[in-house]
Amino acid sequence: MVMPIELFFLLGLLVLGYVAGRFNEKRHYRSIREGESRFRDLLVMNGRRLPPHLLKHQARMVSGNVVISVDYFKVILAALRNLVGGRVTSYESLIDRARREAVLRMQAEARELGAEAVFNLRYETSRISGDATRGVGSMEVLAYGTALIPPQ
Amino acid sequence: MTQWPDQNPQFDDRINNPPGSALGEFTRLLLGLGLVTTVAALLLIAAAGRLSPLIPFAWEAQITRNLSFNEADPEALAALETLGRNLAAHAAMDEVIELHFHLLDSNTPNAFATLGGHVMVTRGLIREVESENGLAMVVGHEIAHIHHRDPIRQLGRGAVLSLVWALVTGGTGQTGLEQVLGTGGMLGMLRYSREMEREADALALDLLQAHYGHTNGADEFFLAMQNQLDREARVEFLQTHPLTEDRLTTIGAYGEQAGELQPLPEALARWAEKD
Repeated sequence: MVMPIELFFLLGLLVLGYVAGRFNEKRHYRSIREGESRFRDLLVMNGRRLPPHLLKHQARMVSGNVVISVDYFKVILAALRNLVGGRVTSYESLIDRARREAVLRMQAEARELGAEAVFNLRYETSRISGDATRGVGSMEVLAYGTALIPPQ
Repeated sequence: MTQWPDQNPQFDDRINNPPGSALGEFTRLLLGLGLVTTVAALLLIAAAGRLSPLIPFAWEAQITRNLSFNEADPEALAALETLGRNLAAHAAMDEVIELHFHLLDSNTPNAFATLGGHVMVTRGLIREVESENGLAMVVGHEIAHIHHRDPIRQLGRGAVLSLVWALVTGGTGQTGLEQVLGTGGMLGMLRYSREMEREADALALDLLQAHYGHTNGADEFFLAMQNQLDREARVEFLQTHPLTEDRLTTIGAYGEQAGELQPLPEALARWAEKD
């Protein structure tokens, strides 16, 4: 009844998910930190009211979106957590990375336009694949805002 | 007047993504849930073992209604039936239980009892025993399984186990149940627990004692299997019948061993030696 071959597959996927997922997550966090220090001076605010020195700037919408996939280990871990409840820590890092990466991409767009700051930052998020029965597959975060470009 | 910053803050990574050992969390959850599931499964299986005998025998018979047997030799079969019914007469069996005896044309020495009161004996087994007494021990053992309702108890336990497994692995309960209720569950594939085997041996010895007045020859088949030269056949037998040593001890301890052995019924012996 318990097919050993199925268990081997399960174990193999778990190990692959854990090792590859960990490696990818570490690498992603490194690149996020680098990006954040590169864009430290490109101010991002979520308010709508502009400070006086930006009032004459041109406004353009900029956006950044990212899709991040969950690994197999995290899916199983979350599935186990779903049985007993509590914080689904395995998905927390996923959300954190996606949100920060989306802002970075939005900032990259803003810098290409020569913007000094991005105001009125908004986030959207959605599930790209997977459904309610199979748990999260991968998630999208979209960050958008108004880039303020100095007048010529 | 709002103070406007001139750069973005650097936040601590650990606020939105608190550090923690994913592997540790995984192990804790798995062990905890595994423990709960195991305890629940054991309770359910025990309950199934207790409750299954309450299933009417007619239902059991209904499941095996469509089993068809290639009945070899009417005379040999009649001889086996006579032996079986004579033994069963001493067992005070529930009158709704019907026994059906079958001869299987297989060279592997073995005997099974399964749902619906079917007892099967292979050609190979009849070749291994020297006297009717040796055969009677095996047939009596299988009759005892049926008297104790072991096939349905084991089926109930297996079904519960499959159900639990299906629930845990997220599969549909249907496939698991189908596996157990499929043909695999009917024919010889039922493995009885050690306790069931012990109880069946004890009753079989009682039947032999009542029928022949002694238990001489009861160990014939088990001794033959221990000395079996064909390694494959021996391994196969010992896998489905563990604890052969213990059983020999039980038989030896039963009591008076001396007594006259009955020869195998002629029709059976003839059938077994035929190619």
